[in-house]
Amino acid sequence: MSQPEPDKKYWRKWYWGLMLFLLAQILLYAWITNLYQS
Amino acid sequence: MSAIDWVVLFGTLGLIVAYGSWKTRKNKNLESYLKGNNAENWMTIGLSIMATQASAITFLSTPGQAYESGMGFVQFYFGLPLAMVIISTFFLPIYYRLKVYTAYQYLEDRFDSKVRSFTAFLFLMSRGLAAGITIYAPAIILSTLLEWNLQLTCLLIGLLVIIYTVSGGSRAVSLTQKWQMAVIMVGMFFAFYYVLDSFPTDVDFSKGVDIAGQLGKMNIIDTSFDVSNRYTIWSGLFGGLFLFLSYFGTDQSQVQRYLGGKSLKASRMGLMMNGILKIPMQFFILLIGVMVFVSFQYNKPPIVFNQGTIISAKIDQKRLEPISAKYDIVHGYKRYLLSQPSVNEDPKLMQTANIMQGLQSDLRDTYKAEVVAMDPDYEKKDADYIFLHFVLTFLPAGLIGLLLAVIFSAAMSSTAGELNALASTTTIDFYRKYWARPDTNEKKDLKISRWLTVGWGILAILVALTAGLVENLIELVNILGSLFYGTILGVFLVAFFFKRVGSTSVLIAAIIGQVLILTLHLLSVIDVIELSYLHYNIIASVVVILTSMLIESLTNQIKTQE
Repeated sequence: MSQPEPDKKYWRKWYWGLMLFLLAQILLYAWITNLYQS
Repeated sequence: MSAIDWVVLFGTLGLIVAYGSWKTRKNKNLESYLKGNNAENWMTIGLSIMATQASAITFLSTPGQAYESGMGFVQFYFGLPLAMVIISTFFLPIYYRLKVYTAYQYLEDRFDSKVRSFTAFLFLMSRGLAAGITIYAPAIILSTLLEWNLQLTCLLIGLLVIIYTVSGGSRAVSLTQKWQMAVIMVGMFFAFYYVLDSFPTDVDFSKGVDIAGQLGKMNIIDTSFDVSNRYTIWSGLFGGLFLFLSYFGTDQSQVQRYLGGKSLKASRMGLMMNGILKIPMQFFILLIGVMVFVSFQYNKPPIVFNQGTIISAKIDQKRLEPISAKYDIVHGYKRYLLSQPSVNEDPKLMQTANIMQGLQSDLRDTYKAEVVAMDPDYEKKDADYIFLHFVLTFLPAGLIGLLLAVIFSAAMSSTAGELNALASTTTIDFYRKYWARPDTNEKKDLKISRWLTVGWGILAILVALTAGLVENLIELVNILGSLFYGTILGVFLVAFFFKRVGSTSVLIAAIIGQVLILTLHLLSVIDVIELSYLHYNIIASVVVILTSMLIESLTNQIKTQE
């Protein structure tokens, strides 16, 4: 590991971003499901 | 298959194998052979992680699954992003700090050599056979539809993988996986284009989605708490989390991929890439399957897709003809209904189409039951054949070769990852630890590692060649994997999160957990209890954690009393 590693804050942004992206996908899929539920 | 398909197929595979072997020809020491000299950037790691997980059966089965049951399977991957975050935060820094070759080495540092060897042994048990199935499962489908020799197909995949895995080690595996993944993605985009191209001129993508939705194929999210329902949002989020934690965090075939990273940051980025792309990628593959379903509303599908596996000598065609004739009539009428311009606005038309859909599916079942009555060896599950049948029927010459290269690339990339991991674990966790002589050196260890890769490769090919003899071997191997995964994850979770628990407690707990899972499995085989093997992961992990804590506190109490 030659370069210094980014700090915790840097990764926290990634993790939250990833979780939000997951939530957005679930919501999109729920919306599509709802669209075709009679 | 035309000549151009053969050229594309062997050209693509040959180039990738040659590239992997050439680029890594200077591998001189064990570090570079097992960890690729820590040279991989984040993108190579990310693609390599995805390529290891995506086996050929992913690309054959997933569209077939969507064709039959719709898009719900995507929920299975919902636990994956959170698993990536947990591994990035807790697992990765420790593996990096200790500079381990295998995940199990860490367990010796945290507990003792017994726990390490026990866990490494469980890994070898579950992965050793699985490598053979990674070769066999696509080979049986390819050989049926293309009328190739099954044994030769298995040998071809196995030998190609051995060539570059033995010569170039971990780095060759990662480098070739990068290109295999590129071939896979390009091939799947072409497939998607040609599925849409097979629709009638007045049906476009959005009308296709609409028809699929009205025929019940766009039910993606299932919020019910029904345990018998395999894919719900809950089983995906919770069951998936445990499964992917054990697969990505403790299975050496994945750990080895990200341990080859340039830095901790590169490895984390690789995992993040997998967390971002995995669900959309699975969604896309499922969508291809649903679009194939739409295409077969207009183009007549065969009544079963694995017609080639039916032994005609055993079959009395007269018993099957009336069912086929009815099937054709029902399909023709449904096609007529769906071709009406007002179909999307007229609920009555759609309702009738749905009834026809149900009838068609019943006729398929009746046909299969009739075939089984005459030929008991016939495999009723034909979903795995649907996608390849479509490719062979609707794709132009040249692209069929490319799609076959996709299947081969996927089979080779996951087999390579497995062989590489099996050899590393045997070398590091067993050979170097127990059998190596004190005067051993890097050169000798490298040689041993190479021979072990050859050995595991030959074993995988032998399993693939004999797999047809064992009934339901694929399921057996899947179950075998689930039987050990939970215990392995349990040991790792205790190691990371329960610092007070010592080695004796965790070893006893792991043995108890393993015996319990084997007992539960036995009980469900003889129908005493009803339990899907998908739940073994959570049960074993939780049992290992709780039992080890209980044993630890009991022994502490006894010690203080003394």
